[in-house]
Amino acid sequence: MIRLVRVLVLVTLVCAPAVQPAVADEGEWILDANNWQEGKDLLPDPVLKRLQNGEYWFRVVAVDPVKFKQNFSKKFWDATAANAGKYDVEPKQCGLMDKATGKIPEFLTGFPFPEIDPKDPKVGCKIAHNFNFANLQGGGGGATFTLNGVDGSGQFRRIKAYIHTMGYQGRLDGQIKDNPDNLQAQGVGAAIEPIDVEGVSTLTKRYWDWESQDALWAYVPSTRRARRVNAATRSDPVGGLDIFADDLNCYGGKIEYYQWKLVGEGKVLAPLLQPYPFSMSQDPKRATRFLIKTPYVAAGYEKPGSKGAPWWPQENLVFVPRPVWIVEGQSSDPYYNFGKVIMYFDKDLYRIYWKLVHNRAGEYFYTALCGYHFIKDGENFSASFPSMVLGVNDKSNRAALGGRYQTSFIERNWDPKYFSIRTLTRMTD
Amino acid sequence: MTLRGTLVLYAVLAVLAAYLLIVPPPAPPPGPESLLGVPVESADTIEIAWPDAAVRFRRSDGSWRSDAGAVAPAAIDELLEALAMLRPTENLGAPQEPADYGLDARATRVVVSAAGEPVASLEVGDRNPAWTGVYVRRTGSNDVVVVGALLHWELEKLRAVATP
Repeated sequence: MIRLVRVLVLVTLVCAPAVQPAVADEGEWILDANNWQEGKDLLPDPVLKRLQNGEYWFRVVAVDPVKFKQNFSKKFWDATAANAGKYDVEPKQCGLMDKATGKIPEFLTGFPFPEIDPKDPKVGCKIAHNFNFANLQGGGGGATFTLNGVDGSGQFRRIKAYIHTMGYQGRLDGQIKDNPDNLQAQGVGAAIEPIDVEGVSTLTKRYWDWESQDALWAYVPSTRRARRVNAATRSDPVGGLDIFADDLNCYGGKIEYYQWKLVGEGKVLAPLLQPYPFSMSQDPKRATRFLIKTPYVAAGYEKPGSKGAPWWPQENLVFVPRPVWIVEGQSSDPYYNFGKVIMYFDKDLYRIYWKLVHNRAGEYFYTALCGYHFIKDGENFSASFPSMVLGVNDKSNRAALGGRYQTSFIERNWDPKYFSIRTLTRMTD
Repeated sequence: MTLRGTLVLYAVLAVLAAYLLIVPPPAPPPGPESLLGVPVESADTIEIAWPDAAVRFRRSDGSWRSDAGAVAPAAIDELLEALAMLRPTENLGAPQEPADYGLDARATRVVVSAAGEPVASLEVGDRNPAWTGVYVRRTGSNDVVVVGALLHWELEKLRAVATP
């Protein structure tokens, strides 16, 4: 329950028109049970099975690959190009290493590894670092979102929460010199509804080094105590739902926690609110805050008579065929609940679109769909936001939707003091 | 509490402590044995036959090579690690119709040998309805067991890189 807040993300709603799946525009097509064979090389097996059964359908939209890359700003790509040859990973924990010093870099932005060689024995780890720096480019922000537990008969639980994050590394806005705790990023999250979880909140600090575990504190209003909790709780279900803190961006942990291995490449359908970026607008109340409006992804249980499983997105989500690296990740933490996790990383933007999870006994049990949207402001700023996660437990045939927020913001000048235990303990005052 | 009572309590405590120190704890009930049953390092030959393709790899000087001499993919070690880790989660007994579990001509056959002797010989059938596991039958037994679907993933991964 306490960890529910660590999960997701940012952003806003706009009254976007509902998608009519039966009417596909040019360059778009519908993949459903009638033509499921066309999805054979575009979807992970358990997803393909549900497509074949008529539970899932996809509005597929083709994109121009060059234009798609421009979802990230020129500043990001220039920084990426400038990183060529500068970095490596250290052998023990796959930590990012500056070749010139043999130590962790002081600061960088852009992808640390512009060129990925599939024959490189450390390639899985390098792909994971690129993924991390795609996440970090925006610097920080926040959103209020919901977690919805859904089974065959509809929604059985709803939790409303918010999350605020601040990044120190990877920011396109440049390095924050005042970083006494040597952090990569930090975040605060809290539950708002229902009443039994209201005020449950967490503080997370991720250190910019190769060895440290994340520092996590959880606050429960009834005990009025903020207690340190284990970072492995990221693999515990959030709020009793079929969703996990580590589903944020499809991987929410520190890169060094996992052992990464590239096992293949292919093409998958990437879930996106729209293929190209959203714009942001200045918050009239705060000079350093920028607002983003995004459409709500309604699911089947909210649209009576809709097609497919009750948890399947019905509108405002498109699926873009994208080339991917297929990477296995496995935690070295004995308290971590997941066994082998299979992830599909975009070859250009390093977003993870799908992940398949095995438990420690080697049983496959869970698939997460990770949907994104991009934000761009000219060629000097861009951000990638995790819009939603759909976690489907194939063992229990239940699902949870996380994210789908309608308002979010980018904050370019957080007060670091906000990310403190004091904030947690005063949240319900 | 009298002095005598306190001494009696100390004596009882000492007996209990001695019991804990002297008598070994009961061994946990034996769980099902892993599919491999021997250390991964001792395996020196792997033969895999899918319905439409077959491969064989041998280990010499620490590295795996195919019969044709090609270096084996890393997926070989990952398959072995999976076999060493996976244990049956359920025993379904001996079915009247093994084909209902994919244990017929569609099955994948895996034989792992060490020093010339088979140490694991398996038929791998269909995935279960939820796809959380696969049906497996060990050579010499009619029982069908369910093991984690990781085995299916590892075999498919190997098939993708090791077969034309």
